[in-house]
Amino acid sequence: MNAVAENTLPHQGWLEAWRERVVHPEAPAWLTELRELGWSRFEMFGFPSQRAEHWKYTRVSALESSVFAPADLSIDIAAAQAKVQQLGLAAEDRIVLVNGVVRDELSQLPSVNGYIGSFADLLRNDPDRVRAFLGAIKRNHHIEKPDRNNLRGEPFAALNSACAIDGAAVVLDNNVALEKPLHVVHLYTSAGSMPRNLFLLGQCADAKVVEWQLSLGDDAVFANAITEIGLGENAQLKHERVQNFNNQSWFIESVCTDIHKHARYIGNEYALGSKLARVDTLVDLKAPGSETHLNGMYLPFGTQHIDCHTRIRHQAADCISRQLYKGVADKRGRGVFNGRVEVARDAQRTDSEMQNRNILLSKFAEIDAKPELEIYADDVSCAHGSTIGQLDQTAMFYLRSRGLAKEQAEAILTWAFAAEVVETTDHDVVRGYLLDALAERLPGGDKIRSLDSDLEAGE
Amino acid sequence: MEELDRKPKTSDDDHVDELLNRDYEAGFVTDIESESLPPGLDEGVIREISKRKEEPEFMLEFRLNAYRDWLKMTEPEWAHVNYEKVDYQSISYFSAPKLNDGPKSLDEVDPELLATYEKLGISLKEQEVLAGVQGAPKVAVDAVFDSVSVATTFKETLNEAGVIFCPISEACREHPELVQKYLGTVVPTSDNFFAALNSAVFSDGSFVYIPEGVRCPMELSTYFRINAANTGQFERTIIIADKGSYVSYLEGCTAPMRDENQLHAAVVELVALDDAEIKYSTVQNWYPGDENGKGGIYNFVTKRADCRGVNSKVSWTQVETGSAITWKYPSCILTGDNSVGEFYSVAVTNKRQEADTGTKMIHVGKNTRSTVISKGISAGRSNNSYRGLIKILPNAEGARNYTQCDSLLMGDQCGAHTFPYIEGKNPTAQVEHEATTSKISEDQLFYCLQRGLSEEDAVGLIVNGFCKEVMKNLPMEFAVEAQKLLGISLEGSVG
Repeated sequence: MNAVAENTLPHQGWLEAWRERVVHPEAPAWLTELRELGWSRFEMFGFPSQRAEHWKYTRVSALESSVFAPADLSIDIAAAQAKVQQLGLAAEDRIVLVNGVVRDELSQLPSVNGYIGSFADLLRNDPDRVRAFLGAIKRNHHIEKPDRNNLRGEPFAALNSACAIDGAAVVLDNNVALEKPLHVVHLYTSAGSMPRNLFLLGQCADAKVVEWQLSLGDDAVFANAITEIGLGENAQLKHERVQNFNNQSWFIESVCTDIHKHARYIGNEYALGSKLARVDTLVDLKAPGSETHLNGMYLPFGTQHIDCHTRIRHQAADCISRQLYKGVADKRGRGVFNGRVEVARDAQRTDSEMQNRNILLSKFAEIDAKPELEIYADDVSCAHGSTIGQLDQTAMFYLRSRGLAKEQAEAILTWAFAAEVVETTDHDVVRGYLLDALAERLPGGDKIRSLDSDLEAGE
Repeated sequence: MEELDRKPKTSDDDHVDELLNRDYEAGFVTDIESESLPPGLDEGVIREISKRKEEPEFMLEFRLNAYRDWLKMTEPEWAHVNYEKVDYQSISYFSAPKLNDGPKSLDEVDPELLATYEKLGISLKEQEVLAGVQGAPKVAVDAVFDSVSVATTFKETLNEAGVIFCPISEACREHPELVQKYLGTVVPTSDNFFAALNSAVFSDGSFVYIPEGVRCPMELSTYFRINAANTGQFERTIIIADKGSYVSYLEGCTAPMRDENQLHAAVVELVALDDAEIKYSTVQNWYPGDENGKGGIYNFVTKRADCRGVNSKVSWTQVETGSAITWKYPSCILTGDNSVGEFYSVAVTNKRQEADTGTKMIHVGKNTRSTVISKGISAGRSNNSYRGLIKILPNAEGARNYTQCDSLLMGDQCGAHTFPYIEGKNPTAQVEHEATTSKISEDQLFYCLQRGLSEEDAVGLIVNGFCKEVMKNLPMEFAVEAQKLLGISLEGSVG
């Protein structure tokens, strides 16, 4: 089937607005070229239709009729300040972005050998440093093979390449370790934003980064983000992402990681909010001994639609990958998990596992799971498992027999189900945030809050 | 049988060499006069097929509707296979061995044809039984040669039980009400590209009707043989199990070795009413092409069962060793409450074969259950994919599915892939999916070798063990043949 014929281009006014926004007469020629490539690719692809295999369960055609012009950048700083306070990040090292642009007055940047700060500044001051990487990582994943029936995040990535003006940049020289975790806080007030992040870790560098993607206020937002990550030999990055947009907002993201020899990428994804969220986590294990662990949790409640795609490509021998994704869908929520492990011919002795577990809490909720394996090497050990079910009825009965109300028992078991993923976080502030978010959504949620603090007090 | 017996005499190198060099056994061509329509497809060809089959009016209408649907459709490209597209205007859509007025009894069947089936190990003589095993149950066979059914055995015995087992062209003439009632109700004409093509041009196939409360007295079997060059085979099989009945049906297929690719696009429709059970087994051994991927059958098949009645059950068992390209997803629509669907599959690919096969289980009714066990073995330069859909609809209270797909890789040039689709819309349903991919364990191999087995035999033993869960679901005669086939298909892929 020809998927492209049915893909659609957005409202013309939208594109025009973005084009005007990104015109920079003094930009280097190569950057303009990259942007033009983005434009032409996006115009070629359009928004993917559900006929494209990787968009089978996620419909973005409603985007074409809405106009998400570039967001206004002159916003009320106080509200953003308050949000940072409320998250408990006032004392933490952080890069704060509002509508995709770094706000120095809200940020607290650690000084390191390398660069931490605004992507736009880095591009302006040291373009050659960025040039080698910009788009290179993503190109591996996206642009090289524009196979129309196999479109993943390509159309949105191309749009981002055309439109991005800023994002968070973390560049660590060889042997640099960040002492404290770095929080990257993305806040969005309204309209459209296309942040672009770049995390480059040199040899033996080590960092913990927590990314927050949050709405500021109740307006609808369209955020189309790309994060490019490159890990040098023996480097290690623990990357946690918390997404909690309001229920009017669209969130599309591609996280593309290249991992070199003996380096390790740990990616935790917590998808809570948005009207529709689609995240593609793409990891290339490019050299022997590299390793990745992906953990994810998605909670489509209400009428939310949350789609988590992962793709791990084992391109060299002796690499390890692990995935654990858990989903809970309630009300009319719909969760999609599509995990894919690809093992190239030379990637002998690959060790790969993927686990996906889902729970449906309501009669109208839906989960679609597609755990895939594509294997061309023979000396491998690959396994995956996927389940969809409900909360354990015997456990429910036990809790009920102890005098808990149905909602409370449900809340406790749901939290217990999610805990396997939540407990992999290194940060109390993340854990606390997730606990609160879940407690807020579940009718018996207060119980898990009190139970949790009881437990803590007990310790 | 010799392959099974060869375990004790392992060090016989000549024997191994002989086996290694042997190729597709069923690849001979029968020199028989046949009548074919010239290549090409248009409404005239369809009218001609319908006329030759002396079909009632509704059949022609059905075909023409399907043809018009087909013209609007495009060939599916989502499967994980690569092949040269078929030129649908260069195939002859009808080929039949020349017969005078059709045989009245088996004695009148062309001896050349009988010899062909004899050579394939399928006896059409009623007093004989398959595989020469004494005391084995009798099997009624419908033999389909190119586009027509040439013989059906044991008709009288079946008649006594009220079972209808005949070529579908005969059913169209003699039981039009049954055909009209069920044809196209499970696989509609516009279902997919190949099903539409089949609906337009299908020439023959088997029709089975088991009346209420009858347990079919013997296994039913259809043996498909493509012989003529430049033809496609488009057979259509319909099996209806009325309330409380049971039938076990077997299907086998072979084709000569030819350099060009031949198309086999079949449609199978099963209907199980209340408390009925259908067991459908396939041993598919179409010509797979040579080492370089030249020739071989394109096996593009739509098989679907509708478990309409409460407590009904359909079980698919398949052993797929042949075909250059396989595109096949035997499915169950579990409409009736408490209905059960099962799918057991072994798919072996070697040389340059490509298989994209699996199942669909659609849970509609309450407390419906399904089990999927799929074993894929890839060797040589082949690609073997499992593609399956488990769909739980909102009303399928208490539905239950268990899926297990295991892949075995033999050699570093082949690929094994798993593409499961799981869609859950009911919170009381439980769906489980598990998949593993690995190669033959060195430890197991070592153990067998130090016990004195040759490597070839050791691998045979391990592979048979890997497939055991599926094989045990085959009727006995078929299990013997299937095990033999597994051995042959994998020869030369070790070491």
